[in-house]
Amino acid sequence: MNIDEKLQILADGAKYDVSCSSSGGEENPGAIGCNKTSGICHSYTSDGRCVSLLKVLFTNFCIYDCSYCLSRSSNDIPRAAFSPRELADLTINFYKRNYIEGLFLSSGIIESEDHTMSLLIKALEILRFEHGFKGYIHLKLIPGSDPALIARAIKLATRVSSNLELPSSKSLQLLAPQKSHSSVLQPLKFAREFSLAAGRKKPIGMSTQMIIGATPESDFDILKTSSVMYERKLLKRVYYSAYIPVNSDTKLPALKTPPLKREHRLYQADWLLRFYGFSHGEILHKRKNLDMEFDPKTVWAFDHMELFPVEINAADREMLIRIPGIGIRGADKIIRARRHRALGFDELKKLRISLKRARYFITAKGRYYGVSRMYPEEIKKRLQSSSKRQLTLFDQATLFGEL
Amino acid sequence: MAHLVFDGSFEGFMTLVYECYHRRTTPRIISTEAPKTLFEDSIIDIQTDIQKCERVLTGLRKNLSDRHLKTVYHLFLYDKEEIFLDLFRYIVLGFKNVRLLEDPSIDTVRRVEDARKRMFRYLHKMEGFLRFEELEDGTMYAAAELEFDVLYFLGKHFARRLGNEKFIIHDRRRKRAFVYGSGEFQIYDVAAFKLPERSREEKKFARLWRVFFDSVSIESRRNDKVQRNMVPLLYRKYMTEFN
Repeated sequence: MNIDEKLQILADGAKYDVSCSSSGGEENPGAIGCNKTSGICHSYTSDGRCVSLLKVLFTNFCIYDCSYCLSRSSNDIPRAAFSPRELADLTINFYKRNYIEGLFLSSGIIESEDHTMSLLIKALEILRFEHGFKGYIHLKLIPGSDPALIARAIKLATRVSSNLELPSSKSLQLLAPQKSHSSVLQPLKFAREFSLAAGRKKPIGMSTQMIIGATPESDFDILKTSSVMYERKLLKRVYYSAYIPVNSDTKLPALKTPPLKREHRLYQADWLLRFYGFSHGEILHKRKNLDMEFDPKTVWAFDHMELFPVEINAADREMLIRIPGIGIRGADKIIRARRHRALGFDELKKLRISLKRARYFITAKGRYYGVSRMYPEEIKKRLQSSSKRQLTLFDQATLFGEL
Repeated sequence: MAHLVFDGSFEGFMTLVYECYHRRTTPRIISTEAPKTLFEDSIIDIQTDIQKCERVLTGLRKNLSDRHLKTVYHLFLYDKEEIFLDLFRYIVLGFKNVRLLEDPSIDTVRRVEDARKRMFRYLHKMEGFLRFEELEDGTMYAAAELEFDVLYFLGKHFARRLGNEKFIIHDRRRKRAFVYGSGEFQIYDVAAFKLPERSREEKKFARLWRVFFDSVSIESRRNDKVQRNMVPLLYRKYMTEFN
């Protein structure tokens, strides 16, 4: 098999992993390669996702038979495997041409967990030691592999991850009987321990992914799982991946289109958890699932009309960022500008604060420019009519970019 | 109010600031070429003068904070006539009271900050979208038509990551090139340039990159509009995967 075919098969097998962030690495130049803290997107595919890393499977041979996975052992598909050197050379040559920020390496399980992990480590060692590569490497840890191998791997990788795959252990049990939540979390726990023991100030950056819509969990269950991870500081990020049927299996739902809107709403809620000081209970109280029509912050505001309107010149940062339509950057702009003078609506417009949603929830110098009576129903109607024109734009908002 | 013409250099612009204070005049237009029609009120042709430039720079260093000073330097690389007047007003504001430069509700301040952001956002995009090809002798070569004059920043960025390589970044719009090798760089004017042959392996890796790029797209999530927003057609001219 030539390298073109291999690359095609092994890139195809890895593409459903949505993580592609190259941010957060130390900026430390080597013989070749240097991270950029902000991360860099090198291209965008025709589905609008950022390409930052050479995201490939080391091999798609796999001894497991997980229902949702393209590489499951019972699928009759072409199989391929790189050699560690082949993969390292490909990475360096792509990097030199500025196609990529680095490597995202994942793999099917070939022969055994330990054997697979050793092959991945070998490829990383060639990159780091022979080429002196200091760019970004994201490594998927292989659950069930020897802790000693994980200890070696985290010395080589910039970030590691292990996918929860599904939002609950019960679903995992059903669709991936060889895996469990505790088995997929184990390597992350090892990784944290080892990196702290090795004298790092912070543990190595870690993330995970959950498939959305293949199993019956509610958004509440999903966000709760995420917030537990964030609270325990086990993970930097959780990725949500709208379920795309790649196999036909009676245990799986038959979906015509992937639940992209739901995935988008989950990302919005996830941002609220990580950057806006919301708890999962606040985002979804009284509800099991996120609203499809309005974003979670707006829904939260509708439930707390007693807190609004907020005076833009007086509110503290914590409250400013809770106003629908105003983000972290907007809030900081407001805080900087109001040191010089009180802000009216014109000043807000000049600062390019988007008032499309915010106008219904704020006063500026005591004046309110929203609706005549501040009822959620009234505001909803206005928002609906103004969003109709923009619906297409809104639908395609994606949050795969760098952060 | 006058129409001021200077030579386009940073020193020239600083001389222009000096002359405005000296002659107590406020520019109405600032350009790098004299107007062709003769209806203009008064045209002042600025002769670049290093001493006058130094006087202004000394004043700026005394009055402005580091961040604002950098904004002035950087904005000059914006390299479009429309910014000169705002840059001039920004300097005047800074001389008046440096605190004014922190107030984003002043139009000039906001426009200058916006322009700076636009320029660095562009730089960040180009850090991702620039593509190198390997030449026969192993030198990596990248061509671009830079919208802003960020060649120096771009070159520095790649010097950090391709430290052991030789590389050239060629700004075909300004006919200049950032040339790097063994820890040193130089920016050259490039009048004419004949590109040497590509290396033997170049075709193979360009092809593999396209193979990769095409196979990672998920058909059921297809969204050309987002792709076009993120990589506008303008950028694609020199990008391997789109050619």
